Amino acid sequence: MTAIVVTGVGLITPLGEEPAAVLDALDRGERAVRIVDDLAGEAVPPVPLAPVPDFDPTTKLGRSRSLKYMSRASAFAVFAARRALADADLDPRAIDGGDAVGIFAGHGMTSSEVTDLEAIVGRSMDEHGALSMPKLGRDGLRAANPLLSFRILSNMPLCHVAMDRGVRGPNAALHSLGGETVAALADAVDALRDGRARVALWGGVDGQLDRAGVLQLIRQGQLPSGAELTDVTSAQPFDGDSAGRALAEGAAFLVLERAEDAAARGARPRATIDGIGLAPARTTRLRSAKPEPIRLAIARALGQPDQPPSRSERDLAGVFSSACGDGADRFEERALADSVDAAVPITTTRGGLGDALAAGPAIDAALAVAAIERDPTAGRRLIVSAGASATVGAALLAPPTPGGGR
Amino acid sequence: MSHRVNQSDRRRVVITGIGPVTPIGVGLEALLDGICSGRSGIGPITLFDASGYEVRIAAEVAGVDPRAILGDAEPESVLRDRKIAHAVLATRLALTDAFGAPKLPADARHAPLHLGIGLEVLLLDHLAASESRRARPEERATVPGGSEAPSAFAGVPEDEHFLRVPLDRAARTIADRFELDGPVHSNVGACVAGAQAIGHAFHAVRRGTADVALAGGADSMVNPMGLGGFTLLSALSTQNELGPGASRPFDRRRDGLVLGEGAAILVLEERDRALARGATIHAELRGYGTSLDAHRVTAPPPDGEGAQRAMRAALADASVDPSEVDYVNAHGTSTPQNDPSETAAIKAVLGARARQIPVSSTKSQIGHTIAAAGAIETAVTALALARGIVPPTINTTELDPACDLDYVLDGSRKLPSMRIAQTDSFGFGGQNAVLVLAKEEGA
Repeated sequence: MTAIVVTGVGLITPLGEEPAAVLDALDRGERAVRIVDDLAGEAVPPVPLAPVPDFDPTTKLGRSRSLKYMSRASAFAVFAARRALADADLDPRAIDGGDAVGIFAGHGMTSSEVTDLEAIVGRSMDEHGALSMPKLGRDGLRAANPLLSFRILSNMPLCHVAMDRGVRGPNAALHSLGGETVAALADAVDALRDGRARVALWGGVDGQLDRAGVLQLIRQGQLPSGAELTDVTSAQPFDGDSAGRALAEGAAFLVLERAEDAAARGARPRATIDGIGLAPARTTRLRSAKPEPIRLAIARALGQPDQPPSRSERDLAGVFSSACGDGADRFEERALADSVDAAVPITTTRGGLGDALAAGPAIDAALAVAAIERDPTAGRRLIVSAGASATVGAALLAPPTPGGGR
Repeated sequence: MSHRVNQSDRRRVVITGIGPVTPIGVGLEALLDGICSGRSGIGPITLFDASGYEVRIAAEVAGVDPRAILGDAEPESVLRDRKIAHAVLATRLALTDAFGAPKLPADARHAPLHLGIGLEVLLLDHLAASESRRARPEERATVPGGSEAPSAFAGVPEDEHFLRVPLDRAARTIADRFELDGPVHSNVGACVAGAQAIGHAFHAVRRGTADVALAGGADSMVNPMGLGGFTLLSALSTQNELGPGASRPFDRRRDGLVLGEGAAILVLEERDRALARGATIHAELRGYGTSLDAHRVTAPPPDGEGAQRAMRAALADASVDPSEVDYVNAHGTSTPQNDPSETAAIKAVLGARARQIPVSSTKSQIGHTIAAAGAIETAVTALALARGIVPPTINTTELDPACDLDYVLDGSRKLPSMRIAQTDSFGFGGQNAVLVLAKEEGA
């Protein structure tokens, strides 16, 4: 089967924008997680969050008319995609005018734009203090930014990357809480192998650190809150005493190419996509998958879908786990214990970076590439994304050695 | 990037189940009757009090009660998010159509689900009721022990959700209720979501990743902020007085789209498998192409250049020459920008023959169902091929000079010789998706 290689990586996380530096920071135990009770002047219950600090779209992306149409998530996506393409030394417009460049991404929950919504609500209350639909139509909408809809459309991060970089090929934006971003990776790989694209951008983006997003996840039991929380007691993966996950934001994109195409243009392969596994989480609500689907996704990524996973190792040098410090970590722990040799080191990025949900697997993949580059002889890295997704995903990245691609 | 592919060594994919939930009919025969009779599903909005809105018309699905479909156990927020009930009902209809019962056979349990899904319904009453919504940190009372008061949810209705239901709830609910064991994907590609979901499922079956797949789309933007958001975009027809006649694609007096709601789920199946079990084959899915305009957020390129690339990619994927296309189910939104742009794209791709090919817009009858549109229109296209009937474009009487194709303005038309059809979907932001279907051999 045609080998698919990674030739460029770009990310933005609460701990930085350089994959190797972020990996080093995590190794040093740095954490971006903090307890927050005020989001841009909006009161929220104390919650553990990991925001990207000092992200000013104008500074990061340059002045552009398109900025006014962008949500924070879209700006993250454009930033990370630019970095990935620059890292790959690739201009999409130079590849069949962009027609042969595809983009496949996991997008997080829709941007809430709470300020706009609250302004609408504020102008839509009747004399009894109740929300009035006629008043909303008559007065409330006048309080909204006319560009609100452009910012909340779910597909916009992908579309902004396309407009910004001239990406014009096959594409898909999948709603993701993590695992579906791995499904987007499978789509990207398929597009390359089918010949529908010569280059594919794959990534994930999440930027929902707003009051509505926070309250929504609290109500669904996916985010702890309370005055007793501290940044030390939150987001401690695999720690039974951890209070729960820290909600984070960020984005990552990877440039993928067929190995022969990368070689033809003199690009340096950084890693090989060696396997992808998907399994249904079988949860109607936002609840984490039990061990069996996680085991299944791992087995599929490791290329043994029809056999029970064996712990006897297949040159795994490390696992990037999606454990985030909530009670469901035990399911992933159990699945990993059944599937991976106990000696294989497990990296838990969500302790330091928080859980950027849709962006998580792509950030982990970018960091796995950095880990491979740090020690290319060590072997393959497995990425697991369980979390609260409807789909559990796993992906295997290998050093770009001959025969490294399935 | 279009490359023609040798079909002979590929698995073939057919549609063996269709579950439509539309404003002109729920179920196959009702939809077909609605299409053939040229019925409009558009009328005054009844789902909420829209009297204060500039736009007060939409195409609603009548007679479908979410509580009757989903049961009393679901929270109010899920019942209010009508696309979830529509998606579940469409799945039930599709599975029953394909397998005679609303469940997958044991050997197809691993079928993936690819669902195009629209934006969350924003439950603004949650925001309105939240007593803490205007509180600033310095204004909040602190009770002994450090806990804050009032609670963030004080005054907010008891519910599993706050403000919105997660986008993947529909897909999760389908997977749960119909006991799917395959991966579930929620495509959020706005107006192309349904078509892309079908396209990706089609490729999965053709590639051999699955033998059976469920795919489609569901959406309902007929809610206060759905209507409000599209009003802010200036995308909607404000000709309330026209009622059922307000959606008139390609007409020189068109002034915007009319929102619709609904869902369609298709059962896709590897053809040999379908033939072996004696399944009824509605049509064959032959090709899928996507592209991005990479142009502007607010409008497509006037020449439909991005749409052209999606059409060419789909035809190449299907190994179909443009000269073989017998019918185009257009995106046809009735907006000033889309219709001439799409017309230009069809002419550029199909060449001189374009004027002889019937082109019609289902949105003239059911409005724009956004994430469901591509799925419903694929269902309509499959039925058109199976029954040899070209669906009409209703309401259009005075063609825009820039729209100069055969738009089937005189009612549905019999065309038994129809073999190949394409269905177009183009989305806000510049995503494009086109599917190519073929009449089943021997049908």
